[in-house]
Amino acid sequence: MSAHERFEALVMPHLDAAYNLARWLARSPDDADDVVQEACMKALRYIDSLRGEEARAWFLAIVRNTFYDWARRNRPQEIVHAEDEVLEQVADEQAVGPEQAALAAARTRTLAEEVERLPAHYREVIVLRELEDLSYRDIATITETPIGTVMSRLSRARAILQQAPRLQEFSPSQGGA
Amino acid sequence: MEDPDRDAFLRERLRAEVPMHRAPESLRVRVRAMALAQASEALASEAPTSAKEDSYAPRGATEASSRAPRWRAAPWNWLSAGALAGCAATLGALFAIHALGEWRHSHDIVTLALEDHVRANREGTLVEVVSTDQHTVKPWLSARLDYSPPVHDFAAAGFPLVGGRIETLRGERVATLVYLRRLHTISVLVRLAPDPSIPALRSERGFQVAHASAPGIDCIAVSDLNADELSGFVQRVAQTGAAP
Repeated sequence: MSAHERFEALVMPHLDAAYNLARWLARSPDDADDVVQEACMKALRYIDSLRGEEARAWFLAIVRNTFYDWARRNRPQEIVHAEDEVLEQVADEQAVGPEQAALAAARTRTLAEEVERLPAHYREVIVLRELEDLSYRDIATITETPIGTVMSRLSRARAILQQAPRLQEFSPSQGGA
Repeated sequence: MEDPDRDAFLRERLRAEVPMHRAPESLRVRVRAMALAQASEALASEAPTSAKEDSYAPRGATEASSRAPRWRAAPWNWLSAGALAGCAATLGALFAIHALGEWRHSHDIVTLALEDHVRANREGTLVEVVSTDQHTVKPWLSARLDYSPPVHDFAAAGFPLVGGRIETLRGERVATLVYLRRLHTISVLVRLAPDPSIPALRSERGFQVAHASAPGIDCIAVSDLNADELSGFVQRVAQTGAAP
C-alpha cells in the first residue's frame, strides 16, 4: 500500500473526530480548519511510522500537538497560564457567587459555552471522553499524560461543569453544597 | 466528590446539548487533494529505480546481469547493430501504424488516455497543480500549453476539482483536469476540437472512459467510477465548457 492509500484507509475515517477535537480546542471553525489541515500534512509525512498502534489515537495525538504548536505561535496568552491557576479562577467565579450581573450572565450560558470556558487541558479530556467516547488509555496516549492524570483532570473538569447554573437546576442529587 | 449518578447525568446532558462538529466537505476535499499532491512529490523525489520502474522507464542499473545492461557493456559494433535494428523496427512500426489507418485513431486515444490515468494513479503523479480553485488551475495549464482550456469546479454537484496536470498523447500536450467523486479519482482530458470518432463509452480492465464534446470543447474522462455517473459527468463538463 502506498502512503497515499494508507492515509486514505487509516487517517481519513477519523477526520470528523480530528475536526471535532480541533474545533473545541481552537474554538473557531477557521482555526480548526488550519489545524486539521496542518495535522494531515504531518500524518501523511509520518504515515510509515504508524505500525500496529491504533490509528485514531495516533492521528488525534498529532492533531492535539499541532493545535498546541499553533496556539503557541498565534495565541501565546492562552498557553502561559498554569492550568490550576485558571481552574481556580473559573471555580471562584462560579462557586463563591460574585456580583449579581455575573451570576445572571452565568445562568444564561449554554452547556456548550461552559465547555468552551474550560481551560484547554480540561476541555480536551471532556471532548475526548464524553463526546468521542474514547478509553482512558487512548486519551492518555493522545494527551501524552499518565492515565492517573487523565482521570484526575476529567473529574475536575466534571466538577467545574457540575457547578454550572444550567446543570444545577435539574441535577438528580444536589449533594455537596 | 465522585458521584456516578451525577457523572452519568452530566454525560447525558453534554451529549444532548453540546454539538459534535463534523469536518466540512471543503476541508475533506482539500486534505484529499493535498494527499494526492504529496504522494506525487514524494515519488518524484525518489530515484526512478523503485516505484517509477516500468516499461516506460529505464531499468535499474543494479540488475546488471539481465537483458538491458548488456548493451552498456557491449562494444561499438554491437551498439551500431542495435541502432540499425532499432531504426528498422521504428520504420516498420511507422508503416504499420500508417497502414492501420483512421479506424485505429479513436482506439488509440481512448487506450492512451486510460493508460495515462492508470499510470498517474499508480505513480502518484495525478495532480501537478493542486487547487480546488478553477482560477488557479486554468492559468497554470494555459502557461504550459498552446491553448487555454475551460476549467470549472463541480463541487456543488459532488465532483470537486482537485487540480490538474499535463498529459502527452502522441506528442500532443493535453490539459488534464482531476476531479474527485467520493473516493474515485477522475482524469478529464480537455482539448478544443470536438472529435466525433471517439466512442461515448468504453469499459476496460475495470475502468471507464467516457467521451463528450460540444462546440469548442472535447472531453475524455477516465475513472474507475461507474459508467452512468462518469458519462453524466463528462457531458456536464463538455456542456459547461462549450464555446458561447
